[in-house]
Amino acid sequence: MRALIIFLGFVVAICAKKDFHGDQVLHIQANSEEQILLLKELHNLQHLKLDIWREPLKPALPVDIHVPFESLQAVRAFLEFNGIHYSVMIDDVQVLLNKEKEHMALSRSKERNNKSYDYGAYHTLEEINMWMDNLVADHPSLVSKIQIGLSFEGRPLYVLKFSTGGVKRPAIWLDTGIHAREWITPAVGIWTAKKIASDYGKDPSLTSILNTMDIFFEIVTNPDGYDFTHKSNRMWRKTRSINPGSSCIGVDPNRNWQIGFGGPGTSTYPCDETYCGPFAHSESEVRSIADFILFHGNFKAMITIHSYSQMLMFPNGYTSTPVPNKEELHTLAKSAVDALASVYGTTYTYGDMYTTIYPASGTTSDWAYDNGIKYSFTFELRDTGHYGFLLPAEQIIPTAEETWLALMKLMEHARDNPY
Amino acid sequence: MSPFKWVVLGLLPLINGFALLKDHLQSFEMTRTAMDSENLHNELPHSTLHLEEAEAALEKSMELNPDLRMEKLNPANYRATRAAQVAVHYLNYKQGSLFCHFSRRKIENATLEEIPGVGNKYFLTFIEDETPSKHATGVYTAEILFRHTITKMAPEVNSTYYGCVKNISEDENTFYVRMRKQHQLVAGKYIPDGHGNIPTEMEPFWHLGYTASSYIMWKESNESTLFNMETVLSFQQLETENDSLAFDYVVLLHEMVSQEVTQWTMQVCWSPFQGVKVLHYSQSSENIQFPGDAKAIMSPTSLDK
Repeated sequence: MRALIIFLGFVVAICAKKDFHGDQVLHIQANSEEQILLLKELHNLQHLKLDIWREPLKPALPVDIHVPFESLQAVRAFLEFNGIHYSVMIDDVQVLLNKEKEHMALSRSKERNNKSYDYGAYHTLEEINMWMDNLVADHPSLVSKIQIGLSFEGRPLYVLKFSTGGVKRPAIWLDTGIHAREWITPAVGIWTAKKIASDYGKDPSLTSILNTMDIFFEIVTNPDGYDFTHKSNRMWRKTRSINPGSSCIGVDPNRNWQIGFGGPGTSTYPCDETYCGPFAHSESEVRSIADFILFHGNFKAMITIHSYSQMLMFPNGYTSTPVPNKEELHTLAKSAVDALASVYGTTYTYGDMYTTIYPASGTTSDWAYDNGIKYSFTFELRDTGHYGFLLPAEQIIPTAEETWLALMKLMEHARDNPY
Repeated sequence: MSPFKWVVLGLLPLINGFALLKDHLQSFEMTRTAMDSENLHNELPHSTLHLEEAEAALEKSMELNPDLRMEKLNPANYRATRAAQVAVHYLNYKQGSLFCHFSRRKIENATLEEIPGVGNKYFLTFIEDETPSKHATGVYTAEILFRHTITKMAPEVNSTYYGCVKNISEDENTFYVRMRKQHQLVAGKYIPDGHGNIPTEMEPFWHLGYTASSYIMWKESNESTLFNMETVLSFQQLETENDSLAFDYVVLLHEMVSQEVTQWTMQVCWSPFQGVKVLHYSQSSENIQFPGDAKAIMSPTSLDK
């Protein structure tokens, strides 16, 4: 027993030197060969445990020595007695090491792969961009990254393309983050993109979808706004474009589409949150998507994701007139909402936008439908107002998990009902 | 369909709602009917409701008027949702509890009655929650009247619901006693913060802000609004001469239809005996910065035990 204690004490002593509290690094300026010799002698005193960073060579060159806390008094006394000039370069080595460690941990989170990416937390734009590149790197035969344009402030607008080949296969469009403050949506978007990439080849239904269709997913549809919510105003909704003649910034990207533009549920006042903009597709964030989809010409489904209210809606928003396939969309929405509820019991209401939430003109969903995309849906994710836009991070993954089942219903329907 | 049949149809969901009540009289602490007059602010009747009395009261308020315009609404219709939200705000303020709140449940039935010369009255029944929790309570039925007057009037609410479990008042007393012991006035910011995070020590101040905000949200509501409280931007405890705790609060409210997020200041009083009272409020023009990555802070960082 005693031997064990002594041994442990020995181990502790060895490990003890991992702590550099109070250690200093002295920057020494010798002014003569004599002083250089003295410093060399100092180095030979083993019990001081000095760690030389810069050797004493000649008087013109400075000498840097890491002095352990226990030896500090002795070394300083020696230097002062011999009139050797010095200054304290680092006055606490441990503090510096701690800072380094912190910084490294931070950079490690910006790693070269997504193994440490926290799907249950909200991330900055930089972190999301890095994650996107890592996703492509991890699944190179399935995922690629396209740039469809630039935001008002010049940020690239990235879209992830999930494709197993073919040329302009029938496609599904997904977007999150069009309204900056709806943080849960890009967070769910990231989890969902990872899910699509991971489940291909494993889940039969998803695999069959991707064997015949492509998925295009824009995660941060409004990067200027998203960045602004992190740094300045958590409640920002619109784009960050300058409105000539007004001090107010931004246009509501979900009122800026060419469908019933300027109609009910929009404002013509630049300071309002539902400002539709000076003209349809004035916002590059909107125009880039519209151009991309029209140029592609073969989109079959459009799913745009917002928060909050727990609703699944289909067109129309700009008029109370129902769309021709209203019954089909109603039935499909019901099956999606039931599937969603089966995970955690979260209840959604569903219906056409005009009567379910409010009249709204110039929306993504209505525009897509008007351009021939029959399966056009808008999600409003959790919650119903308890936290609203400030949904706690621990709800990210549960929200993503339940929403996934609804998304699958919609995508399966598009796969099974080609047109 | 004759107006009479519409009237009966409109009544039916309410009668079914009361059937629920009978079952719940045994299982829950209290069943109360909130009256729509502000005079009864702190005098909520604690008597249990008898089914026959409720039905009689209903019938009395119902008149077989040929001018009556009753319309059954789709429960998913935003008009029903907005009316339901008003009932929840009203009840949260009237109940005045720090730790127990009403939440808006899924609507089972909704009827709209247009009363010429008066306004619109909504009759709602709600789908029951299977798992009521300690801090959440629910509404069974609600009648909400929006008067169409030139000057703004707060909506009038009549409803049946089940009250909070007894342990809540113990929690409130504990918090009250702790607050009275503090040596410095408490203040804080960002509850929740941009990531939806609420430090445990700051939860009571969030609850207080939420209940107090319900007063504003009820008063400011009409058929074209739907309010929610987003965050407590800041709170500052004030000195008081009586037993109540008092605070200055600044909150952010989100209005869904316009999508505007606006800043409101209010002076709030609370004690376990009096409940939550808002002394005055106003929309604030001063803009407190709220960056998404700012963290919730409190001074002192934690309350003395």
